[in-house]
Amino acid sequence: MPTRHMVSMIAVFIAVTYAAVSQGNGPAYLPAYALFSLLLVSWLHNRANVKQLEVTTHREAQGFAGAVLLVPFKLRNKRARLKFGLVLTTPIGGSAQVGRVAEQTIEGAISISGLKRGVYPISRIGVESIFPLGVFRSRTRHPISCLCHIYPEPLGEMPLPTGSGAGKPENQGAKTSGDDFAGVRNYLIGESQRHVDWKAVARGQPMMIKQFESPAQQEIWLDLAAVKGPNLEGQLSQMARWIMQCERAGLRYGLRVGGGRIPPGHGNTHYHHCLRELAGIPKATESSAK
Amino acid sequence: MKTKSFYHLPLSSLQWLLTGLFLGAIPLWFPLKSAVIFSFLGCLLWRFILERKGLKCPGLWTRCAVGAVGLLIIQGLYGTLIGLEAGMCLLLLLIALKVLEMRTEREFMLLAYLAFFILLTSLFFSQTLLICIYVSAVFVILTATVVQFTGGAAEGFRLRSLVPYTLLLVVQALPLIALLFIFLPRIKGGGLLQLNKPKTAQSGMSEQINPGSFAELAQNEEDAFRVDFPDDNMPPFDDLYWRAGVFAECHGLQWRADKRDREVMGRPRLTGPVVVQRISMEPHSGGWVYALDRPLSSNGPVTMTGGNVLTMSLPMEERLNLRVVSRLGNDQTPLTAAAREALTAVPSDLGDRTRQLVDSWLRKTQDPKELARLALAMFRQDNFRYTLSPGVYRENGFEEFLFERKLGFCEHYAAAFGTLMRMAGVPARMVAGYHGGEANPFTNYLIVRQADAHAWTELWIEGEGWVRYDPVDFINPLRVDADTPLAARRPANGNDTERIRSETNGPAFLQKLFRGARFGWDAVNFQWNLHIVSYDQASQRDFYRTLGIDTIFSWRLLVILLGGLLTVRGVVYAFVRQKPEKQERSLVLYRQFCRLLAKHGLERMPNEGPRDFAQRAVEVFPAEAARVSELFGLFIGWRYGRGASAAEIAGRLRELKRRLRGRKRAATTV
Repeated sequence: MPTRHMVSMIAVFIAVTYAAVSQGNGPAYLPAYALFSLLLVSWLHNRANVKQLEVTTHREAQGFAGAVLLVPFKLRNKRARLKFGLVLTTPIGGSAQVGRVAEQTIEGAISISGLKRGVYPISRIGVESIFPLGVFRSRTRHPISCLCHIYPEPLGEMPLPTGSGAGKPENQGAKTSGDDFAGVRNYLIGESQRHVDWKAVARGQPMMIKQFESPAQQEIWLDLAAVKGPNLEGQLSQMARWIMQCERAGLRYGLRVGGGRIPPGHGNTHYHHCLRELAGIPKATESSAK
Repeated sequence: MKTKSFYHLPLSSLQWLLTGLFLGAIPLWFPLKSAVIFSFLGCLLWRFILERKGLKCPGLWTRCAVGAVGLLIIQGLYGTLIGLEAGMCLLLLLIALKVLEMRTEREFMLLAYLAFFILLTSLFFSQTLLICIYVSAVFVILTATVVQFTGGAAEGFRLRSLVPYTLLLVVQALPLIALLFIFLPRIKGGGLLQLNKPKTAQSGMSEQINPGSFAELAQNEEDAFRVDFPDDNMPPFDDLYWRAGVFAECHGLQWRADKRDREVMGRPRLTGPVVVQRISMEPHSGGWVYALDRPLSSNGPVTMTGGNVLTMSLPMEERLNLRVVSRLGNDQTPLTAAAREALTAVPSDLGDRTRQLVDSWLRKTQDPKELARLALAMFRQDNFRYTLSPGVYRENGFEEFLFERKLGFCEHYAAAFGTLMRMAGVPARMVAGYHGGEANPFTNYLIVRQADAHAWTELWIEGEGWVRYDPVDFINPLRVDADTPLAARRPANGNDTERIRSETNGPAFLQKLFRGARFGWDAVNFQWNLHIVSYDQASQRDFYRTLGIDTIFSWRLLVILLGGLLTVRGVVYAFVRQKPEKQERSLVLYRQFCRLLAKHGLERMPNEGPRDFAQRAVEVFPAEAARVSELFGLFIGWRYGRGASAAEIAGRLRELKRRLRGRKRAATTV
């Protein structure tokens, strides 16, 4: 499939052909023939460049609305021939660039931005390339199955619906005080690094925050029905913010959304479980979704 | 869907592009004013430095200023903004401005292809082998630029893999270029666009022969023409007389090519062995076509005029390649009475001493050959000297030459001999051309230089026709100056096929090496001119004819072109093709199974494993529940290395397919 750069090349081709015809001698024709031959050869190379590749992804990916969604992928070149200048795309937008793949598997992530809250299934990933001359674009499609959960953007000013006043703002930093080691969680940018598990970092693992809990934990029920707001998306944003606050504060929280409910819990899995539940709520109407 | 890809311009790609533009613009140095090229290169350097230092591109106002200055420079140098050369300069200015603002992928690619364009335009100004080699090299560099950029720049390419890859691309394109070059029919499109070529050096024969004009040429080492003999029958050195012009109007020592002579000399009737030559002539202004004495016919824009002379019917602008047929013998064209009269006319003021001399000969004999012998014997015995610097003769210097100074070059002798013969009543004319040439030891062809310019005389002898007489042959070798071509041509050791020129001072082996390199390069150039530069529409049609192709609408030509194209494509494809990975048989069958179910309305979800899918399948196809679930069981078992063979599963699959089809048919009939 020709790209727009083809226009430049064809223009040059026409110009040199025109000059060759009016000149009439042997070498004057060579530029035109050289460009044309290179064009044909590059077409075959272009098509071969996106073949014999295999793309796999995780089954699920998640991110907040308004932020960039990263869909991690693994790209395997099944043949020894090097592949260059690949661009991975998804049907819901976003792209990732891979400069060069030898016979190996490389990992990367497709970044998709501008997605609204919801659940987006990605059923295929396109691998395309304009290599080597930029005048043809070839694309192969790779069936995958990846469910992307776009959580509501955590917004809203309402205080946590606590009966006992737990979760004061000062206490929000992280529940890193306490007696019992309660596991680790992802380090969030901007957080204090006091409780980072540096030993793990030294082992090459990502930065994690050591969490400690007091045995006595409060339970908070986050109820969608209790959130006041002009529309569903706003209410869900408030819910997402609460979930984040609770998680950071180390509180146990449960979710009541419409008919469904998630019993109180805590930790990374629970956190994502709750947010995923919010992501999966059908949009109220087309207009409110906009 | 618009794909955002590699939108930042990596420094490495930018360096490649700027280098490509730089090298591509260099050949334009010759046709364009150097100030333009300098300014262009300055802009490239500017951008390069900005990029290197991580600075921002110049703003809109700066670029406007650059553009205005550029326009002023072009206007100042050329006095106009239109026309070919000014147009090229404008293109360079636009490219320079684009270079200064280039930020996006689109701009990069546009500039890359513009770089191709300015590089290739240099081929329209000059087609020498050297330029072609240079252009090819830069062509590869520009290809590498695009390959590097589209291949993910530095992230994708290192030089180590970029160079072989680019060369591979180009090498794969080469057979196709050759195919198109040889076979693709050329279109005649003269006059669409004529580039003003720089006027080439145009020395050579002139319309009249004055004393001293050849001595001037004898110092000139420029090439006049090259010639090879396709039938491999190069005549012996002494027969290598290259005829250019004939002078039939005698003024003593000065002869002129009178327009009348073309009428008085009739159609040629040539004798002797036939020799075919391919002549590659350097541009010259005389209008002569050099050919072995005497030419019979030629291809190309050439007409045969009287006196066995080929003349060009078009002004000669570039190197001309011709195929000329000559015969080495005499011209036995009968002479009319009028022609005889014209060809024996002499000026009346030649002097009495000459008259007395000729009369003394005429008293001895009336036979033209005997008369010629007497005249030549005089040149040999009478202390005549052959020299490049005979000094200046007076206005009517004929007797001064013949009786007093006796110093002369080839044209003096040829002119004097012709004049004497005319006075004796023998029709005579003077011929100008070249003699000899330097054989290239690499391939068998001759280089004839301006220094080989020569003049001789022709006498018309009853029964034999026009016979060539070279008076300088009869000069006593002891009285031939060492620096003359004649001395070099007839060295003492008698080896006369090769002339030794000493152009370098230094050890013998270095001289030999230098000579070898010069000959080698000249040989390659000659072949290039002969086969590539001169391969135009006409030679292409000639070549077609040898293949039995008479018109460009021939199916044979079509077969050759298409066949060649497909062959090249096949070879390249075989090279880039990668055999697909052999899939596991179980997976292939499972995919078949899924496709079958999908055809009947049950699509597997992307994330659905076989167990979940089986569950749904059983619900959707209750009639086939047993078979479906059994098949699923077999698949799962097989995947883990247990149970049925592939043949068995394939059999079951076929059976299910039949049954489902039957069910569907039943459903549609109901």
